[in-house]
Amino acid sequence: MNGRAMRSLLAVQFLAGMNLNALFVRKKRVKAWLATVGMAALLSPSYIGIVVLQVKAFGFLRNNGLPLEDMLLLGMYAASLFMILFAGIPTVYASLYQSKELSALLPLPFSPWQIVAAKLAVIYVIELLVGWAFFLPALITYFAYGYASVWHLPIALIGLLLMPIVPLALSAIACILISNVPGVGQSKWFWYIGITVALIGASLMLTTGMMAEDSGAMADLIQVRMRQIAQIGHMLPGAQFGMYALVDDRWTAALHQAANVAVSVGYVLATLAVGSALYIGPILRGDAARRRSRVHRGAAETRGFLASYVRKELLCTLKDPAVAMNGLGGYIALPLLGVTYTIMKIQSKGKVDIIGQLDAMLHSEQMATHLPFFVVGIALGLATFGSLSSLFAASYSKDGKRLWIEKSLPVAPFSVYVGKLLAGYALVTALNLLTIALATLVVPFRAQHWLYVIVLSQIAIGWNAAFGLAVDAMRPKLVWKDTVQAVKQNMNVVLAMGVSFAGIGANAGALKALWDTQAGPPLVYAAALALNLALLAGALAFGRSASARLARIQV
Amino acid sequence: MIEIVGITKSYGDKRAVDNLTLDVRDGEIFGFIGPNGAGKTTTIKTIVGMLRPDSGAVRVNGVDVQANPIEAKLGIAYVPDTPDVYERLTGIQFVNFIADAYRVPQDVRVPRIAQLAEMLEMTDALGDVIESYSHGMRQKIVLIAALVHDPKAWVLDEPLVGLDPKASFALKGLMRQHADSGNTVFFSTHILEVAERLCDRVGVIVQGRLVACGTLDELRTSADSTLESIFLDLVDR
Repeated sequence: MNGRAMRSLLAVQFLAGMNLNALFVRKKRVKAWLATVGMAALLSPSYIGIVVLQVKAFGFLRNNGLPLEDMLLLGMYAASLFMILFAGIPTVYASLYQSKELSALLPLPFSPWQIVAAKLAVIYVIELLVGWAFFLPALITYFAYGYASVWHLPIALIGLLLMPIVPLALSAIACILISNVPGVGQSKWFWYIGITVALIGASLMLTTGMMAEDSGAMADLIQVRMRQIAQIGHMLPGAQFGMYALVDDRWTAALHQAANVAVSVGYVLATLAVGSALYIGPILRGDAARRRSRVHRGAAETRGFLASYVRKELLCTLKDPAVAMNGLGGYIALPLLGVTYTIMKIQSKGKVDIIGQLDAMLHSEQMATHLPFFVVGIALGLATFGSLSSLFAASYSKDGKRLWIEKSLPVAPFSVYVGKLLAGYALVTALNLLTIALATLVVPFRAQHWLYVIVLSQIAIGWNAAFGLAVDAMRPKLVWKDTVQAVKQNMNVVLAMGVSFAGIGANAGALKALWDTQAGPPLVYAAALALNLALLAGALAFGRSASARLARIQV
Repeated sequence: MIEIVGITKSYGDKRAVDNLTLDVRDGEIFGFIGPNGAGKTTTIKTIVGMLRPDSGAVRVNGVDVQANPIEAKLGIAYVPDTPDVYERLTGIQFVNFIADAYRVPQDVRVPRIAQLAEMLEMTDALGDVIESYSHGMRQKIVLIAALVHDPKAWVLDEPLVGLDPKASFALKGLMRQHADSGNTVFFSTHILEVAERLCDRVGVIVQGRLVACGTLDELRTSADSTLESIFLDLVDR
C-alpha cells in the first residue's frame, strides 16, 4: 500500500464528502461561511438546551444523593450509539450508492478495501462529531462532578474515539446487505420509506420503553428509563464493552476497553470485507447493467399531449422520492400527528385527547348554530395540507436544465402549465380524499357536509396549486445539483406559501364578517364557494399569463 | 501494449462482448469503432479493470488486469465518456490527487501539469472548483489528470465529445505524440473521419464480436473505399 496515495485518497474524500473547499475557495467562501454560521446560530439554542439538560440531570442526582450517575452516563452513551446508528444508515447509503465518483476511482490503482475504507472514514468523522456533540457534555459533567478518577481519563478518551465504530459498522453492513437484495435494495422509495419508518420506530421504542414502569418516584423513574436505554444499547452486539469501560473500576474498565478495541478492529475488518465483496464486487461484475438488461419495455402507446405530459410528470415525480416526499406537503405530518396523539393519550391516561375534545365540541350546542362555519373551516383546513405541497411551486424548477425539452416542443406554453397542474393536482387530490375519508371516522358530519368539504377543499387546493405553479413559471430555479435542492432551497415555494396564506387570510376575513353579521347557512356556504371559485379563476388567469414566459426563460 | 485474449462478458441474456481477442502494440493508436451497444465501453471498462470479464483475460504491459489489478492500473490512464469527477474539488486538487494515486513525484508532476494545462488552455481555471466548469473544461481536466503520470497505455472512451475544435486538435496531437513516444493509445469513437486520419489500426466491433481489425489498407476492399463505407458494409452484413 502506498501511503501517499492513500493519504491523498482520504484527503479528497474529506474535501469532496464534507464540501470543505466551499469554506476556503475564494468565490464561494463568504456564502459558505454565512450559511455555516447561520446554521450554527439556528441550532445552538436547541443544542444549548440539550447540554443544560444533561448538566442539570447530573446536578439533580447529586443534590438528591441519588447514586444513579453511572446509569445516566450509560443511558446517554447508548442513546448516542443509537443516534449514530440511525444517522449512519442514510449517510452510508448516500455515500456509497448515490455518488458518481466510483467511475473515477475504480480505474485508479487502489484496492477495493482502500476505496471502501476511504469512503467510510469520512462518515466515521461525521458520526464521531454527532456522537461527541451529544455525549461529551454528559461525560465532561460526569468527570467534573468527580464520579470518575483521572485514571479513567485515557480509557474514556479511547472510548470516545471508538464510539462510532460499532453502530457505524452495523449501519454500513446492513446498508450494503440490503442494497444487494434484488428488486428492493436499489429502490430509492424503499430507502426513503424504510428510513422514515425506522426513525419513527426508534423514537416509539425509546418513548414507550421509557414509560413502561412509571412508578411516579423520580429515582425509580430515572433508574428504569436509563436502564431501559442502556439495555437497548445491548442490542448493538459488542457495544457493551465500550459502555462499561466508562463506569467500571480501574482494571475492569481497562479490560473492558481492551475488549472494546478488539471488537472495534473486528467490526472494521468485517465492514471492509463486506464492502469489498458486496459493494465494489457487484460493480466489477457489472450487476447493474445485468439488472437493466432484464427490464423489458412495454409496447408504445399513443396518447394526446396532455395525457402523455401528465403521465410523464407523474412518473418523473414518483420515481424521484425526494421530490415526491416534499410534494406530500402537510399530509406527511398526518401519520406523525397520529402517532403523537396516540402517545399523548396513552401517556396522559386519556386526559389529553384532542380528537375527543373536538368530538365534544362538535356535539355541543354551538355546533348546531354555527355548523356551516365548522364545515367551511374544516374544508379550508384540509386544503391547507395540500397547499403546503411543493409539487407546484417547484414544478418548472425541478425540470432544471431539462426544461429545454418543454421549450422545444410544438405545444402552447399553457398546455405545459396545465399538464403540470393536473399531474400535481391528481396526487394531492388522492391524498386529500384519503384524509377526508379518515376524517369521517372522527368528525360527525352528515353526507352532504362531507360532499361540500370535498368540493370546497378541492377548489381551494386548485387555486393554491395554480398560483404556486404560476409563481414558478415566472422565474424557475433551473440551476441545481439535485432535485432536493430544486424543491427545498427554492424561494418560489416560500413565495407560493405566502400567496396561500394570503388566500386563507381572505377566507378567514370573509368568514369573520359572515359570523359577525350572523349570516344564515346558505349564505355562508355560497359565499365561501364563490370566494374560492373567484380565487381559482384569478389563479388560472395568472397562470396563463405566467406560462407564456416559458419562451423567454433561458435554459 | 494491450493484449485481450478471448474475453466474454454477458449481462443476463445479453452477450455484450463475445470471445474478443485483440492485440494493441506499443507505439500505435488503435481506433475501436462500432454501432451503439456493440460492446465498446464494456471492452474498455474491462481493459482498465472496472469490469471483470466472465471469461478470458486482459494483459496491459504484460500484467494481467484481473490477477494484478493495482500493478496493471499503474500503467494505464483512462478517460471516460462522461467526465463525472469530484465537483467540489478544484481542478488542481483533482489532478494532484490522481498524481498521488499514480505516485508521480513532485518535480515531475509540476512541469507536466503546467505543460498540459497550457496546451489545453486550462491554466487560469485550475484553481476554480470543478462544479463551475463547462462540459468541455471537465473533459480537459480529466485529460490532464490522465496524462499526468505518462501512462504506458492510454485508454479513451469517446474522448472528442464536448471538446471545442482547438482542444480537439490539441488532443489529437497529444495522442499522436504519446504513441510516437512508444506508448499505446486505445480509443473508441463514432467520428470515423478522425479514426481514419489518426489511427494506425482500427478494430470494428458489432454485437460484441470483433468483425474486422487491421490498418485501413488491410480493411479496404477497393482502392477508393473509405472507413465509413467499410464500417457500413461490416455493420449491415
